[in-house]
Amino acid sequence: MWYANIIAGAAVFLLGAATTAVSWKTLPYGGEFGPGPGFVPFWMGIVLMLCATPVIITDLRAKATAERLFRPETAKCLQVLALIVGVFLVLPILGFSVGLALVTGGGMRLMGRHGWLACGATVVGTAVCIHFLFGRWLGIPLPTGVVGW
Amino acid sequence: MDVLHNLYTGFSVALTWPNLLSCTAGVLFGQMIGILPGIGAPTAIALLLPLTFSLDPTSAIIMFAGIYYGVAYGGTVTSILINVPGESSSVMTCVDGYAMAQRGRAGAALSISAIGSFAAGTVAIVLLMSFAPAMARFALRFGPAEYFGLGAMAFGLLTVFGSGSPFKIIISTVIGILISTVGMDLVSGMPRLTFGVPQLLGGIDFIVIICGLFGLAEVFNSIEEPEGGHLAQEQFKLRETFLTWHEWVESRWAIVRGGIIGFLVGLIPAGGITTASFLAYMAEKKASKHPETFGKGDIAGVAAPESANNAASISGFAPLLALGVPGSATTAVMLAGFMMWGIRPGPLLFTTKPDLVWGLIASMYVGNTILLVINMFLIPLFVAMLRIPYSILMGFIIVFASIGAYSVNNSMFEVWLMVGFGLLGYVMKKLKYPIVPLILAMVLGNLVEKSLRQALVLSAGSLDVFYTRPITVAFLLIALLAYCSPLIRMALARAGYGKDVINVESL
Repeated sequence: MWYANIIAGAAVFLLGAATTAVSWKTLPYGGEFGPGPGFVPFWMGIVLMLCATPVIITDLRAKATAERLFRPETAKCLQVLALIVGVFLVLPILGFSVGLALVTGGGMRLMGRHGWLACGATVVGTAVCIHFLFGRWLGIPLPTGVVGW
Repeated sequence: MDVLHNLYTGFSVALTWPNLLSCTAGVLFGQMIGILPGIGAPTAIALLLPLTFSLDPTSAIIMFAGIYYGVAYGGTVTSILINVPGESSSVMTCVDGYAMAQRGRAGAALSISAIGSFAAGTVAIVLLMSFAPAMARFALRFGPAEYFGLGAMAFGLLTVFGSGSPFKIIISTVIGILISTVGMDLVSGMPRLTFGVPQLLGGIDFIVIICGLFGLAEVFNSIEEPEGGHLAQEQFKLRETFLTWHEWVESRWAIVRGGIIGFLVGLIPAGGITTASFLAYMAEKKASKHPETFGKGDIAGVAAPESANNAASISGFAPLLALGVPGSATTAVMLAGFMMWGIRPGPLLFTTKPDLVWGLIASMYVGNTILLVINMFLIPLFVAMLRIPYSILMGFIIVFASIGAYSVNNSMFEVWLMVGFGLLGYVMKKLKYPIVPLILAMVLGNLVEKSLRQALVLSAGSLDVFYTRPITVAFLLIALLAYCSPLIRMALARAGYGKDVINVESL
């Protein structure tokens, strides 16, 4: 966790530096009658660097603790993230209704170890609900896949 | 008399069938949201916002308001029954509420929460009817310099009410401001921080960020740290909800004090209902003749924070409606809703949209009454909801968040942005960077920057506009004190004064 805090502080500092540099180079600082579009990003970048510095110093002085950024349960988060990303990548083929329904069923199986029947029923029910509730009733033009949903 | 006439108009709007249904749906949904883990009022409203495009704005806002104060009621159920706060505003209720449940007085605890919330909420609505128009009349004097000062003060107050590193709070605030600058600059027409991505020219939509930071990030956090608990009492009889005479006597002044504190804290931008409940609990403990009973099942320890959080949720509408400045993440999301419907909250709202404003206020009376009834008689139904596994809920949260993000521009780009913000929110929480300042800064960032630039244009670049106008000076002084508050707290701590902290993350 100690390393994570230091890296986060450094990342914030770099974000501030980059924001200041980009806004100074690409945006006018002043305008005809007052601050220009680069004024706020420039100073916000400076503030980020000023605030990140004491955060980094405090974290450097702090003793390392047993607390860890990533725990055994983090693996479950990664599984759910992989499920979401995987489904979203093939959404143009699956369609929104089927794709998101697979996320609900997959989540139930991954996290709750529910039976295949329960997961399957949830997938079917969710796909139907999404198609009729969001696609038809609310009229949101959700992408359809090969199934037509 | 004006107020009564306006209230009559409000009831004529609120008691129409569409608005009654919206109010009922809102409070029921809010109650359920308050009970279910992993989803809060800002997330629920953000997920529903895109779905209400076709609704009448008045009905939609009445529903969202019902969700907001309904959540305050719902969070109490899990706090008392399983010692897990359903909402951050119910954290203090866990302390004495669960202890009462362990003694077999869960019904009484739930009753006093409902009664206290109703009483304090009703009084808060009455006070709102006076305060909000007065605030609006006062805000008519505001110019760009005053709005800049107000925004700076709101950002500063985030460091006052927060715990943890004030630098992290400021970092989170600044990141929110930077996000608000992404897109086309309205004054010069130049793209800012878009890095050549055409989809960013319109900026990053608030809904996408909320769906990511509150929806998806909470899914990841809840998977990693599942909330669980043992039900202290599973079966309820109606007679168990009746209070004894002693419990009435012990709790009546707690309701009054909690309600007053809640109302006042809710009026402050960035005050928040969690802050209100915490302060009310501490104040009640100090005022009690038997402070040693707090933490062991003192009914006043339940009545005070519950009265305060409901009063604060009502009074939080005053700065939103009268000034256009949200007081919490939930009202920030509602502000986004207002803008989505082309309605600009602020001092002119009371004159341009009186039906909406007074219809909303009148609907709060109706909503609070409905909540009192369902909390007295339908608790077993809500207890049953506690048995829904999170593995089922999380899928639906992801569905709503994804569709919400997609519907902003009918584009997968926003869905991927939502995933990115979800990961950001997850990492921020783990590294103890608060998210609420980012949200508030993102909503207010454009207003504050625009006001700053307008003020300097009007003064031909002279800074004296910020120290010659008394209201602006007052706001900026409060902002300066607020930013110095961590140093003041350090000095007081070294001098030996106690330090009470409130978690700004749970505003």
